[in-house]
Amino acid sequence: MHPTRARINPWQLAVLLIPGIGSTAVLGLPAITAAFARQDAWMAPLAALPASALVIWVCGRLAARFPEETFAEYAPKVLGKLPGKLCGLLLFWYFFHLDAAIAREFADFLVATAHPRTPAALAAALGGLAAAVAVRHGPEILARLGELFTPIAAALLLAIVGLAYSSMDGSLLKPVLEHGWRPVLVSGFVTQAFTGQFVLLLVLLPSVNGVPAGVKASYGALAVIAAALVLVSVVSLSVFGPLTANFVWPFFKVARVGTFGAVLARIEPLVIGFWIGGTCLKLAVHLYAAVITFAYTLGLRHWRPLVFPMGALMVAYAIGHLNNLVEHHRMLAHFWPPYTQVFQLILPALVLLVAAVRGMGDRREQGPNEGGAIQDGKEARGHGAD
Amino acid sequence: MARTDRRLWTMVLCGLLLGAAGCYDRVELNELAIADLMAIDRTEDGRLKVSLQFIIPSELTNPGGVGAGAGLKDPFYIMEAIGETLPDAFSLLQAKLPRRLFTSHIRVVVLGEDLARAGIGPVFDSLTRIRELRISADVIVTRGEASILLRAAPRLGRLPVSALSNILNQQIVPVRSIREVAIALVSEGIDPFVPAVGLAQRIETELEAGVRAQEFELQGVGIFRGDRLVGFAPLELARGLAWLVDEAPFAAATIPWPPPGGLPSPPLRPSDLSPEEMMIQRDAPPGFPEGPGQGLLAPNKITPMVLRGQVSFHTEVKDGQVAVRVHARAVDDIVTNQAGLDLTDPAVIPPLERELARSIEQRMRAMLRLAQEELNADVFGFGELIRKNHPQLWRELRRDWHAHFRQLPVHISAEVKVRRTGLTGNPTIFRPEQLRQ
Amino acid sequence: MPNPLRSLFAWLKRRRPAFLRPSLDSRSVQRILQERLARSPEAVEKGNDVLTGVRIGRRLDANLSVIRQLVGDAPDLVVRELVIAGGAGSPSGARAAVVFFDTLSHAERAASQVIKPLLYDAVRDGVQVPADPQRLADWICTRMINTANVETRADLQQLVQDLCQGKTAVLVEGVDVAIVLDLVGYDTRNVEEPMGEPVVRGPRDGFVDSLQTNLSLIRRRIGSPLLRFDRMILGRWTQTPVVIAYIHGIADPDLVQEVRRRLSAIDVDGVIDTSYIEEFIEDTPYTVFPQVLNTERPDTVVANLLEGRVAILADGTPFALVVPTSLWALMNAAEDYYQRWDGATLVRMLRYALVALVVLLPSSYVAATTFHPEMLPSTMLISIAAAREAVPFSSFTEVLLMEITFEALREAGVRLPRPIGQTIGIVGAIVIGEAAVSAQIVSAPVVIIVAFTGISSFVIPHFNVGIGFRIARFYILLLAGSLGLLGISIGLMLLILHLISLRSFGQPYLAPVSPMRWSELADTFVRLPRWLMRRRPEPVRAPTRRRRDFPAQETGTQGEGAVRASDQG
Repeated sequence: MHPTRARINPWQLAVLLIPGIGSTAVLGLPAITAAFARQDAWMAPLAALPASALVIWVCGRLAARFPEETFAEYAPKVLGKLPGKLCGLLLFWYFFHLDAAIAREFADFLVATAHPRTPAALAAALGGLAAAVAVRHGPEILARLGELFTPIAAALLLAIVGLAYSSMDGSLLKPVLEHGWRPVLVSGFVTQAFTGQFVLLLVLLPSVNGVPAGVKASYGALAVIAAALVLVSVVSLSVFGPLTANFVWPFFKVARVGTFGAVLARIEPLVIGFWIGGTCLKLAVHLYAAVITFAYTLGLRHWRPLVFPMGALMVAYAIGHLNNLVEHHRMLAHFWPPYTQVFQLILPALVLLVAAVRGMGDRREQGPNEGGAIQDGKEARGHGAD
Repeated sequence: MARTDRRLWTMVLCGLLLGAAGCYDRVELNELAIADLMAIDRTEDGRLKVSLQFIIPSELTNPGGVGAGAGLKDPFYIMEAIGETLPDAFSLLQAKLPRRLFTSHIRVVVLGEDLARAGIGPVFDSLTRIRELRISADVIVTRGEASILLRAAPRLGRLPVSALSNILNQQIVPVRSIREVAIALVSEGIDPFVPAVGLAQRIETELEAGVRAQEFELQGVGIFRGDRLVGFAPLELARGLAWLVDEAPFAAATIPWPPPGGLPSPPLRPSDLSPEEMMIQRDAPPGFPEGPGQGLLAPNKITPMVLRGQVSFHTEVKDGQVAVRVHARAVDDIVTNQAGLDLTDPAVIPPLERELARSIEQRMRAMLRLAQEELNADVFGFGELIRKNHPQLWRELRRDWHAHFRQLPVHISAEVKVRRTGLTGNPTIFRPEQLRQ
Repeated sequence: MPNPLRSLFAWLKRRRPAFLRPSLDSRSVQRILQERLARSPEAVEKGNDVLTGVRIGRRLDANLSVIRQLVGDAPDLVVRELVIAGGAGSPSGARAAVVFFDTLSHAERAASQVIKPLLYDAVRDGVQVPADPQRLADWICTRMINTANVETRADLQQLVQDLCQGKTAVLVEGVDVAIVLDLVGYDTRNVEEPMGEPVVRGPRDGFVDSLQTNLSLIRRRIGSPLLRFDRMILGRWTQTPVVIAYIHGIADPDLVQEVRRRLSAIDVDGVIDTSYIEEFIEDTPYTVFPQVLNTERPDTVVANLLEGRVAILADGTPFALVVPTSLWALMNAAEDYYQRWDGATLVRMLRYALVALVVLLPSSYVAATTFHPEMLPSTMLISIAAAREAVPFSSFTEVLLMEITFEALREAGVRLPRPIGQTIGIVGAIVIGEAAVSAQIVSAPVVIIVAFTGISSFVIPHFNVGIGFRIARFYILLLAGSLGLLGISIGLMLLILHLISLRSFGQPYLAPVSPMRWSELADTFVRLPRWLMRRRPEPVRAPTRRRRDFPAQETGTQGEGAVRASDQG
């Protein structure tokens, strides 16, 4: 089945994107941004907002021009066959690489917090397995998993904040802008590497009922993610102050600190459990994106058989290539932000620009004939792909 | 349908894989040596002596003998190891332990005086880095050797650590966890402090002869400059510290009445009391010959209990000179009135409130004097306060903060509201005509 | 090898003129029939060529002997031969026979309502009996027999079928049709409160083992003429009547069509209980979770019909099936709708919390004690450690052993007579709870956990969902034992994934939570007051989504009253 036949409603898209992008950022991001912006790190998500919104806008414009098609399908039409396929492969590489990074983070977190003697490879493999099983069920099931997961996870997040309230000291956030805007902007750039993952929309938007509603839902998801990140940063900073940057997963430490009498003293297993769930979801969404992009770039008819091999490859890459925690976090902080910009913003924007210049796909500019031709072509392809 | 078959196979495969994945981290509870209290000392050659107190769970729930006294075995035991670093000592300890060392449930970390004076920074790196340790564990310091403290055997409660952490949680002095000490160590313009605990003077009654009983006692606060212990503040001053870090102590603080230096002269709110009334009170006789209890060491005392206390901090800059203003507000309940003050008379309350406020101010001042002049340690975080409020100014001060701190003008004021007078209105031991207006 | 007989019948089957269809009057037909039956008895079965199209003959004796032969000279087959007597001037009476199984039909009613009129009434009233056989049959049907339900049958197979289902046949010499009367009368249970789903407040009647009674229980509650019963026969050998019940105009026609399609695709030798049907019509067979709701409460069925669902009832079982269903519907008890909404909501939340414990408590205990002791509160850790000090097994083995013991006790207790069942309970409590702990074979916390889990599993209103969760518990326990918290999380994730991918007649199993349908959330974790549940659930088509609206031709007040009556109990 062609994935764009599967129908996701905008609400489902939003609740899929929230854990699909936010889950890894929630635990680790405050440490990375605090390293740059110290007590102002909570502003980083806000600083990243415009660029992330731009990513959504670009993806939305592309989806409006080429409805029901994924990036890998229209890129060759826009850029010409070879460059288009190359772009598809680049995007695939981005999803794949990101997915491996997520798997690595997943394994590292588990080993560091709950399973010190378990090999990271096993943890990553299990996460990859769960993600692959989910992906095989298709995007609709993924979206519904998000629907079930996100509200509970949000409630848990708020519960942790509530429990940690007594340990919070708002004065640790002062002085505001001690070193001016520069560090905030730098940390915003780092945050953009996370929130810019909305480039997922290149693959997901075609499956959504109504592109404009989907784009609107994505803006909503961005707002929720940004709010969650601000909240998490504020809480981490006001609990740990200057220590925040020293921890690897500050918000997890917050959960360890939080107490509510003796009954709710240990909430951290819940945090770990939910983080596993959320990260599996994120793994799954990106694995799906990678598989779809790969399959359609190469013009394959079926994408499902690719899921398990791709998952295995991804886990192998995560374990084999990304070496240790320090390297990983250094990468996340320094190499990753500029690197991901290439894929998250530049690549789609380039395609959009060329499409606009060549006047492709946009029916309002082209008149009915052109649009009809595209419609026909799509339908022919649809039959082949089924 | 082929698809459902495949799904079934996938599930079976998953199950097998998960089952076969092995059990890397398993360890049964009865293979664990659960530590609950840790003492860290510095040996003379500069290494760390780590003493851990382990719980013996079976002794805890099934006491060895039913009878009282001698049959009772301690539900804990103590082991020590000396190593270069904390994990080092742990692994040496492990060599002597029949079970796996398990440090997650350490609730209190005791620092020895030698170690604290030598600097706690390196130890805190380990304390925050080791996964198993909880950073919410409380830190205390003790005079002399820390491992001695582990030998305490309080009679109430079978585990010393429970007794210890209960004492700490009485809000008598501010308690600091590993996390809070670590923050203070990392931050600019604040020095750490931790409660100081020692062993109480042992009283052996006839009944208890032969029972090993030794209680903990909160003895004040250990003050650090940077990561080094520079001195101790006794319990009286520690309460002043509690006010200065906005953690009002839940403790009684007795004042004499009428105050030895006369009633506080500049009332905070002069309108409350007419000059005539004040005159009368000022002229009241200091002693009270007809009153009861004159044989006591401290007659004529009033003891309030702090119900709520809140402190606000302000900084002000004048001519490039920064000053800190500390204003404490407390709500008190009077729990003892030996002075025969007629507490049913509303006019009595304002001067009493002012006197109580003055006693709080005195406590704070005394602590401030100790910290500023003798120890020169900014445990109150005034530097941080300045950094937050005047980042520009701080850039000049930070390099030589401790010198500036010594000179820092701190204006202390307090304000007390007496909301209740205990369960009785008039003093129970006075006849109405003996009451002081 | 071409079988001449077979080709003959095939030809006859294709060409259907009545005069050409073999009748029992022909001796050759009788002979061939006898031979075939002797060779292969299953020829009687429906759909087999042998009997198809064979008509009842005019000769009474031949008919009777074939019928006797077809049922194997059953001792409970009553053949009462008589002569129809008429008033003065009637020709000498025609011979007739009343045939029925006295195990299925009401013999007394047959005597008073059929035999007596034929023997005496015409004589008494002086009515003339028509001589012409064709008119005779009509005359009997219209004038003589005073039962409510009269039909005629020309087809032999149909006749035998009717007899086997308890009907009574009247055969008359010279008439080539049989008059079939419905005098079904056999012993059934009385309508009583259902054992499995009792309520404190609410209707007390439950389905019984007779389809007729069950349908009446439903029809009584829905006054609307739009209630539909579609009848079909299932089971090659049992020939069980099965009824699809729905409300025309509320139920989605596609859904009804799909139910019909799935039912008619069933090919099975017997339907003893609706569970036989259930296994054939489930969307996903490989799962521990039931995708069809079963109930023995007519009020539950009616409430579901009003929500646009379809019920399937079968003769011989008190259990009706309701499709489509969801996990949430299976977690609800009838009682929830009869108690006040606030109490019902709290009870539901408690139920969901306890189900979470059923699945997670034993595994969390294992994971916490063997993998993550740092996550337990200190005091709890110490007391568990003390209890475990001398226990020879690992936590995992211990919990697994106790869980299996508990399941064994439960299984042993379920089917035993009550006094012995209690003994099992006592033995279980004393031997397991007391002796095992004091002998330090298992630790006390494990006993507490297993017992609590066991009790919690009883709060699930539908037994078969309970089984599903109990199996899921072992699966999670296994994962927890090998991988700790990671195992629980991954296992739970896969479990939820599995639940999400399930469907019940096309409806997502976890709807309305996933996919989210806001208006339907009123009746899942919570039960909002009835006046806030304005809309019917999803599969109902738009025009009738609002609960207060009824299909156009409905008189309205009646239907409204029915809703009230069934809703409020």
